[in-house]
Amino acid sequence: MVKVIIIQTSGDLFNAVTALNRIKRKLPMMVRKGMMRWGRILTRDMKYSARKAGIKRFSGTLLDTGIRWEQGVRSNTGYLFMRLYAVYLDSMAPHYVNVTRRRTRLLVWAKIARSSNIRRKARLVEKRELKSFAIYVKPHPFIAQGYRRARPKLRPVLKRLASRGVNL
Amino acid sequence: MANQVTYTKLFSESRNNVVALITSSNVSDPTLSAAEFRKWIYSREPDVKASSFKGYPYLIVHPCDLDIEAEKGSLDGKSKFIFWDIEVEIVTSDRGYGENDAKGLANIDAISDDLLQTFMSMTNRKTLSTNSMKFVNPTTTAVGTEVIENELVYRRSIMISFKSRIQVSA
Repeated sequence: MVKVIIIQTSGDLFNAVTALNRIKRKLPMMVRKGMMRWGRILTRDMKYSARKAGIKRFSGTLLDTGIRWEQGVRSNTGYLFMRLYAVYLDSMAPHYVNVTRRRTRLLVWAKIARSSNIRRKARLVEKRELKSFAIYVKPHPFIAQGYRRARPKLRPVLKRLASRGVNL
Repeated sequence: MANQVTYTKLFSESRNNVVALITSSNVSDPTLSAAEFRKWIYSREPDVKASSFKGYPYLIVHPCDLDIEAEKGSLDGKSKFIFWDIEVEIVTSDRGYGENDAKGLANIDAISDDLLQTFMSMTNRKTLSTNSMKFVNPTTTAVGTEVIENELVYRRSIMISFKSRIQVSA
């Protein structure tokens, strides 16, 4: 995005230099602030998208700190941090997973699963009456959706903050 | 009914003033007649759990963001420039029965028209200005589409910003 800034003065070069210096100091700061603000919007939209894709709170920390915007106070680069398993959840190929006693988190989920068949088998695995059983897992695509929601807001947010950097 | 934004109510009153303007007859629900009422303004995404959700269209007035300008305050530091940013999201559904089908874009445009008209109206701007929310500047985003619980929805955000130099300390 290219923006032309025109500085008009009443012929006083000192005033023009002061204004330019002020812009030079403030504009990068405001743009960084704009990035942080958009980062918060992206995080919010990504979490909402994850929730809508059926990712539940007990499956990990995606709805809390598992998705967050990371940017240093003086950094011009920001990252959307996301747990690695979020990427797998988003784009894995459908496959079978064995539920065993050693996979405690999965077993906890299986014991309260919606399907009564899975619940029954999970209890059998817990009581060691069954060694393991397989469940079929499918991806929950949410990253592209979350990004699609947040992306159109980037331009207005940056534009507004940048104009504040120039005007004041 | 707009109220004065003071340093004790920087977040709450600014959002209340925006919501008050929207809830009055300025912005009308295109799917309802004037005699009917339903909740359609939220502070977060409504909990849509099934495809039978009847709440479309709806508006989300997000909590406001605040910037306090470090420079250009008064000499005693009691007054500063404050910037408010409030995002209003409009979500409409493209599904409906009979003549109400495929009205998503028409509805989102009608609501956006009403919202912009409300915030650009001189009367409303003067009201907000007297309550310390000056220089209303709405910016809009492109319309996006997505699928929520098998419902095809349109979504647009209107970001409204205000600015004022007010007292920030007793």
